[in-house]
Amino acid sequence: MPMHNLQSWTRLVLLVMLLPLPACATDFVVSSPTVEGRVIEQETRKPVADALVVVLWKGHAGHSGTVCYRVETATSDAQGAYRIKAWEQPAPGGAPLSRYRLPMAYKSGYEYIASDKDTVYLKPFTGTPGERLNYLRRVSSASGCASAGESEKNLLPLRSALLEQARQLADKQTEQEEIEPFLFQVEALEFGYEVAERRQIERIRSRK
Amino acid sequence: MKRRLSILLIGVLTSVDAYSYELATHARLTETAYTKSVLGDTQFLKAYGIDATDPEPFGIVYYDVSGAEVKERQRDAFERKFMPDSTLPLSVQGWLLRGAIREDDWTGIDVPGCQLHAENPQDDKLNRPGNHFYDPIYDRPLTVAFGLGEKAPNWGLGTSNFPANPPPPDAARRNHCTVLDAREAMYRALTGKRNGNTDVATTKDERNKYWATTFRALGDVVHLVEDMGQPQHTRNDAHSGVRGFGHACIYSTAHRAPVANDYHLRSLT
Repeated sequence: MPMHNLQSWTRLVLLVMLLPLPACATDFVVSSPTVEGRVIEQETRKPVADALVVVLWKGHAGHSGTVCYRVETATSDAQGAYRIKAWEQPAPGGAPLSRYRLPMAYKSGYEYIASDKDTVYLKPFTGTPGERLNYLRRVSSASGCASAGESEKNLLPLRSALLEQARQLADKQTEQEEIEPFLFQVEALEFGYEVAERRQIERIRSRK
Repeated sequence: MKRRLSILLIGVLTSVDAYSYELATHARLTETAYTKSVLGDTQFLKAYGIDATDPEPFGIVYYDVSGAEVKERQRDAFERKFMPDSTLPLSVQGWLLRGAIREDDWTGIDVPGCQLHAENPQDDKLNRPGNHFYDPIYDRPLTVAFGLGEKAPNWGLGTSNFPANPPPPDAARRNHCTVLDAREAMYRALTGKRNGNTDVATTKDERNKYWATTFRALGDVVHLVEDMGQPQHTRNDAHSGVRGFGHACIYSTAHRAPVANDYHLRSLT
C-alpha cells in the first residue's frame, strides 16, 4: 500500500476510535425516573404481596467493567405492585456507559425466577432447609452493590430479612458460623465495614 | 481500496470491546485458588507458624517496601466490598484477596473532555491494569501505536527481562507487589532480617506485618495469572471498559468475562 494511503487509513481508524469519547465527557450525573413494577408468581400469575424488591442500577465504567452505583428497595403491595421514587446523583467515578437497572425480589418461602423489565417473577421454594440456606447466600451475593455509596444502606431491610431467615434455618450446633456472613453484612451497613470486621473477629475468637 | 476500507469501517463500527474480569470475579477466582492450593491446608501454614484458623493472624497493617524505604499501609474497606460474603477479611485468605482486588488499582483519567475518577485507594499512584497484558506472538505489552505498559510477566516477576534464567531483579520497579517482593517479605517474616542479615523486624508484630505483605503481594501476582488466562489480555484487545477509549480493536469479538454479581443473579434461578 502506498504511504499516503496508509496515512489516510491510519487517520480514519483513529478518528473512528475517538468518536465515542464525548460519551464520557458530558454525563456526570446519573438519574432514574420513578420505577413502577409488579411482583408476580410465575405459574399462577397471581400478585405476590409483601415481597422485598431490590433494584440495582449498573453500568460500565473505568477499567473493571460493570459497576453497581445505586440500590433502592421497596415492598410490594396487595396487588404485587411496587414503586421506587425518581432519583438523581453524581456519577460514580465518572459516567458509566450502557446503564441498566436490574430488579429482583425476595420473600420468605419464595425464590426468584426472572425479571422482565420491571416485572419480577417468583415461585414457591420447594427445597430443603440446607438448600434454602445456600439460596440465601446467593441472594446476598447477587444483591451486592459495591459502588452504591450512601444508597448501599437501602439494602438493610434485605440484609436483615436474610439474617432472620438464616437464623431460623441454621443447624443449631453450627448456627453461629452459618449466620456469620449474614450478620457481618447487616453490621457493615449499620456500623460500617471496619467496625463490622472487628465485631466479627471478636465473635469468632470467642467461639474458639 | 474502497472495498477494503468499507470492510475495515464495518469491522471497527461493529466490534465490541472486551471487558476485564471484575474485581468481585478476581476475588472469587482467588478464593477458589486459595482453597484448592496448599494454603487451604491449615497444617501446611502451621508449619510456618501461622494459625490459619485465626480470623486475624497478622493485624491490619502491611508494608510497601521499595529498596530501603518501608512504608506502612493499612487494609481498606474498599477491598472488603468485593470479597465473597464468606471470606474473613483479615484472614490469610482475606489478605490474598486484598492483593487480587487491588492489583487493578488505577488513578482515573483527567484529560480535557474526559474525566473518570477511580474509586480505589490511591496509594501508589499507579495505573496497574496497563501492565496486565502480554501478547506472546508479537512479544509485546499493551500496545496502541506504542507500548503503554510493561509486559505482564516482567510486571509480575519484578524484572525487565523475564525470559532470562533467573530473571534479574528490576531495582527501579514501581510495582512493589511482585513475586520478588512476596518472597522477600516472607524471608523477613520468617527471620526478622532482610537479605544481607540486617535486622528489619525484631518483634512478632513487625514480622506479622511482613506476613500480611507476603500474602497481599502474592494476591497481586495471582491476579496477573488470572488475567493471563483471558484471551483479551494476550491479544492486545480493546479493554479499557470505555468503548473507544484506550484502543479499539477491529478483531475483538464480544468475549465478555463473567460478571460476578450478574452471574449470581442468574444463578438464583
